[in-house]
Amino acid sequence: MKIVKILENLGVHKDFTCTPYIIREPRYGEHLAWAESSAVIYANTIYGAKTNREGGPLALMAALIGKTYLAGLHIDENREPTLLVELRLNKIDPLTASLIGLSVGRELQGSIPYIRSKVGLDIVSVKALLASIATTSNTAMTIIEGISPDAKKFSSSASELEKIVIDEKSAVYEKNEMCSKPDLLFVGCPHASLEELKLLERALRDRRVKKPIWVCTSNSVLKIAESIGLASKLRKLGVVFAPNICFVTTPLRKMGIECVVTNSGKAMYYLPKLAKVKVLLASLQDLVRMAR
Amino acid sequence: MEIKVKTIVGGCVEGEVVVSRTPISFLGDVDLETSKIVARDSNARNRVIAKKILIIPRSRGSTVGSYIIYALYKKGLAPSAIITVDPDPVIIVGCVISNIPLAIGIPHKYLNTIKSGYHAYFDGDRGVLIIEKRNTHSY
Repeated sequence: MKIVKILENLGVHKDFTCTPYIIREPRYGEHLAWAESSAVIYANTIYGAKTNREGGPLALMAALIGKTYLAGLHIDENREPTLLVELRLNKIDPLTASLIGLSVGRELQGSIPYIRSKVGLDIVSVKALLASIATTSNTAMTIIEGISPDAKKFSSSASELEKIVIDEKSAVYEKNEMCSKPDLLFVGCPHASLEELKLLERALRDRRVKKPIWVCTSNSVLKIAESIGLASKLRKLGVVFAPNICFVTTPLRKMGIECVVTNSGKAMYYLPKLAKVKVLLASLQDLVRMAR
Repeated sequence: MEIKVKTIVGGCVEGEVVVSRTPISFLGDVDLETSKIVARDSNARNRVIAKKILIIPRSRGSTVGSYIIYALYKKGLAPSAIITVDPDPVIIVGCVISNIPLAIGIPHKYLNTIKSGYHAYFDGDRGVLIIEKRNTHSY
């Protein structure tokens, strides 16, 4: 709380979230100095803003002086794709996107991928894909065909690049840390967007669940959800909101939790290591089923 | 073997090297209590990085890594130096605030030829890493 107070005195917006782009959308070409790997890759890929993958202290220092260093992704010639990633899956839902993202990240070795998918990607799947890529790589930017603002510029030259192909086989679970009896069911890694809350509402189908489903999200998204009546509806169906909180960095094991069900590949990667719990990965629909 | 590198944070250290061919997320891939690498896909899994010269291609994942490097330093569990292939903002900031000698630009091929356990000198003033093909401990 002492740190929160100090940050507030510095003039920091008091919304502790890994999805700052929802609160204040980055502008195309805008220079930023962001920390949080999933937000960095999102700002560069979806908005065409320019930020390196900064550590927390540097992001804070850059905020203090309103400047950052001119290198890396602030320079246009460093923002060109260096590898073609072809997603040859027939269907990509958020869970699949989350899983293949972990595999894609492992292949990248510092390159900027041009991602070409056989099927269309919805925005929730893109968010999951990017968060996972940023988990297993240091890649701070991708270019997604049909989505990234600069994608058209590179669509023909990308075909000449070295290529890796990702198919159904790449959507693999890390089985040895899985568990079967959930103590905690949670969505929102990275913090749930309004679209994800709507998907959760749809998955619940107006039927209350027995076990609570925890949702990590930002204060800002929760406020919007409150204002349109979505939050109260979800609460009635058994959802508990944990705004501005990250379960992955919460000492869940010390709180008596051993097995966590989540729909996030990023959470699956970090939970056993940080929260010292076992993880069961499930689609949103299966997660709701397990809560019944 | 003498390898030219680019010094980012100066200093001169000598000791055993730990080489991971896989990038490391300091948050999650390194155990904060023991400084052991716990990433299952790293060839350096279960190796302690405290007081070692850590050689890695770059970091991956969490940008909290800068703070973790600082936390390791505060606990006396930080590497004595870090050598990377690519410049990595998360590592650079972590090393600067913890005053851990850091160099970048080691050619990637050395990640395969230098083995964990080899003895090395890092001379930040000259920007060289000298590798000796003997183990630090003779047992």
